[in-house]
Amino acid sequence: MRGLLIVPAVLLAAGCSASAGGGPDGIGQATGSTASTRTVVVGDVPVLRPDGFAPVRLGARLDELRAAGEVGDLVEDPTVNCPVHRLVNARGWVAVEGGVVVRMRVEARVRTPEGLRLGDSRARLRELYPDAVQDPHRFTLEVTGNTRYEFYFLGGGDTLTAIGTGRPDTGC
Amino acid sequence: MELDERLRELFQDERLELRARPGAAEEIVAGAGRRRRARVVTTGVLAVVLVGVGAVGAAGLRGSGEPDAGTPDQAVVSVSPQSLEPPAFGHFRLGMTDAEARATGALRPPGRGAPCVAYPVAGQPGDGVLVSPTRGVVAITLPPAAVTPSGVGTGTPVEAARAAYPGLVVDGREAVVPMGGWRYAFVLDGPVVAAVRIEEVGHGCAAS
Repeated sequence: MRGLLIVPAVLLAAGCSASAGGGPDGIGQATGSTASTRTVVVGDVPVLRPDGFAPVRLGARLDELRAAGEVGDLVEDPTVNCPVHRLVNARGWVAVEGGVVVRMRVEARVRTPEGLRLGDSRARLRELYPDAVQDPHRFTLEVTGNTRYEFYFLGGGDTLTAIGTGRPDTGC
Repeated sequence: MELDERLRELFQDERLELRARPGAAEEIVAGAGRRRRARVVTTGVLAVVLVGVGAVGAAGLRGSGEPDAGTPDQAVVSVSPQSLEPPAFGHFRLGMTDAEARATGALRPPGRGAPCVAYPVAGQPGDGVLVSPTRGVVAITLPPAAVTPSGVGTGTPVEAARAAYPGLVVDGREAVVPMGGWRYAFVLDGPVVAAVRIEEVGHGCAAS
């Protein structure tokens, strides 16, 4: 008899927990009192993955990117210790060491795979990346053994203004 | 053989005989019937409970996936990435109170004007924040080095701004982009953007 009463309790718990789940990416899901809605972002912005975004990726050769028209002239950036070239098809730059891209930063029209977007707040960053570490200049997030995201809040404010990625073991 | 005969005599001894009282057989049959009916009722109730709870659980599991013919359709709302841009920049957000804006430590008081007050912002030329006495922060001017999440900032050609924000409308020396209760105002210097302002629509204060 006791076993027969345990089975309904387990089934009830399974139904409740499954119906309480949210959307896979944490954005765009809203639930009303009578019906749910799902928000779809159309014409979305490019995604910066930990290794960059095609064809501008960490490890890509500078001469090949220049030939493909993805990277332009040298630009001045006193915060970076390597030669910096502007991106042609995005607002941002790549830093080069040994002829290959070792770091990049994008300042417009970009988001992460997890849905962090330019304009988002620090609270949103911490919600999506609780392991991000703050230093005096930015937030960083170790992604793999030799790749990390960089998140910038211009002027120390609460607006995400740039997203970067790079290899921390380089001198850039 | 002797043992067999002794045992037969023993079991035939009438002192070992057990006599049933009258009506005992009927009572036994009736009792067995009651137990059988009770077992049937208990099993039926449990079966109903199991089926009902199982249906609830299955409905919950279906709810986590795509809608099907048995559940109401989920409303899908399509938005542009621009519509997700916030009415805020840096330390400031439209609607903050004067006290909240001052508490950021990024304003350089005292502000100027009445009844709306324009504040300079540290590290930024000109007035950066405009505060209404009734509506709080109603306008925020971006620093010259900043751009909107879609990439419009000082020096952006107006046509590039229009490509980023198709709803852009040029009105004299400004181009505005309605964002729903608030708007971007791009101050123009000829064909390029000279400054970017986030402002509440109809705030009633002179622009900063």
